[in-house]
Amino acid sequence: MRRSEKVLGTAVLLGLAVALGLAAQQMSTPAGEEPPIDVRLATMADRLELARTFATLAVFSPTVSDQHLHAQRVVNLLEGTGGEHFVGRFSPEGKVVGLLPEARAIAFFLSRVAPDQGGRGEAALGAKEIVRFLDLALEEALAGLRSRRPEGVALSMRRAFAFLSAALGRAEDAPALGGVRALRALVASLPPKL
Amino acid sequence: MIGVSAGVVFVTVLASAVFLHAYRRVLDEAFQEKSAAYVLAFADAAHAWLARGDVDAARSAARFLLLGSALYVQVAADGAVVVDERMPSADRLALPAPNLSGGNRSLARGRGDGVPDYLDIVVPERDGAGYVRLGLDLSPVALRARSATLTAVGVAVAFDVALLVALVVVARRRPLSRGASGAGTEELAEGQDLERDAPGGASPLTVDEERKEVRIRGRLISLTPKQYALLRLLSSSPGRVFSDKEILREVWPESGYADAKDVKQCVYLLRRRMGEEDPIGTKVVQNVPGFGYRLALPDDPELTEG
Repeated sequence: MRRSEKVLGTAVLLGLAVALGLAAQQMSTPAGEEPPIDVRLATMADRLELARTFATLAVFSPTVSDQHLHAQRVVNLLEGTGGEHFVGRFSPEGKVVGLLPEARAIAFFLSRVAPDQGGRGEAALGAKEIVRFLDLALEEALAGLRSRRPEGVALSMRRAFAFLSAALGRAEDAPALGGVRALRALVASLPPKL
Repeated sequence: MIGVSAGVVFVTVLASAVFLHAYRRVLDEAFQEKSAAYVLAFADAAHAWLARGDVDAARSAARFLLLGSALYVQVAADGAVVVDERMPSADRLALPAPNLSGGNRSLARGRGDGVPDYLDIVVPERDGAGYVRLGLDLSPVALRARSATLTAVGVAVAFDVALLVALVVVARRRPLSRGASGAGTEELAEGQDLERDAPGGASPLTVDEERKEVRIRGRLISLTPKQYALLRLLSSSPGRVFSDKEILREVWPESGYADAKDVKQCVYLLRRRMGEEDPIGTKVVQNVPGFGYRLALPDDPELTEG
């Protein structure tokens, strides 16, 4: 074996070792790096308000192209960057964390954290309902995007608005109904804080 | 015929113009109504963002509206314009300060250099200190009106053509239709062209089924039963060509031996017999070489010349 081949082999082995080390470090990063759950729920509530605003604008838009513009914005907010129907140029805020992936992540997180203890089971149930409402809202927004008739788009976006409103809910609602605000109120009341 | 055609075209053009005028008004009104609701919805959201002090959210949403029909978006609070986003084409557009005294929203059409026609809508804030103003491009309405015009013109032309073709077809069929001069009477009718030349205005050719009589320009012609049956068959559909086979089937239904020669001879004798009474009679039954025989139409040049 020549000297240059030995050097090359050593370099490859070193590279592999560094890559494995980085991967191991990545895997050992604790999940706790995420913001607290109440902050994530507050952000979700804000995003839901924004999605409702654009659903309303889609309903009242004077032309079909305007309706589709706002419906696409709702889809972007729901799916987030990397979503199947996400279109980047209709997302002025740049990279978007989708409402649906976020809701799924929260539901998964809540189902893992002692689901059998008091209100936590209810919280996990409410989070799953939020995911269902958001799924339905996405379905309707996509139906609005497919429709070519202004009345058809408006009807779909009204339904999307209704499902988004249900996903947002009110703080005083029962959390199991599936409202982000009610879930946030419940999570805040659970000792110790999630 | 020309008068009827001109009338039809005039009526369809008039109907199209009335329809388009009404349709344009409906489009305009629908666009204005929807636009007002659109601006109201945006104004509600914008005021909420400003109330929270989130001017960036209002500005970002205003920019987003520019991706659609909006040419410019202004949001004012406490007497100052805090958001003013415009399309490049509307950059130099001078927007006079809106009159907020009435507290009602205002709609006005506008036009500027290099800017398409637009609808200027101002929605005042409820407390009157601010407003939201949008300029919406009216091109989509004009585009829809234009496509409706093309559709209406296309439909009108198609209607005119169909009607005129129907008129021509009816006019071609009418000349030798069944007469109404009595039951069982068939006449070479509409016959006005022949009648014009006929002495005393008598009907040019009548076939009286009940009396088994044939008259040419009023003169009675005595025919044999076969000649009568042949003339009756041809006059059942004037202008139509009957083949030898058809004639044989109708005139010699019981004979298995009659052939084309018998038809030819019968036609010859019929012409000669009719020609004895009136020179035009020789031209009423016409030979169409290779196909058969037919009864001449009243406007046939040979008849009118005769």
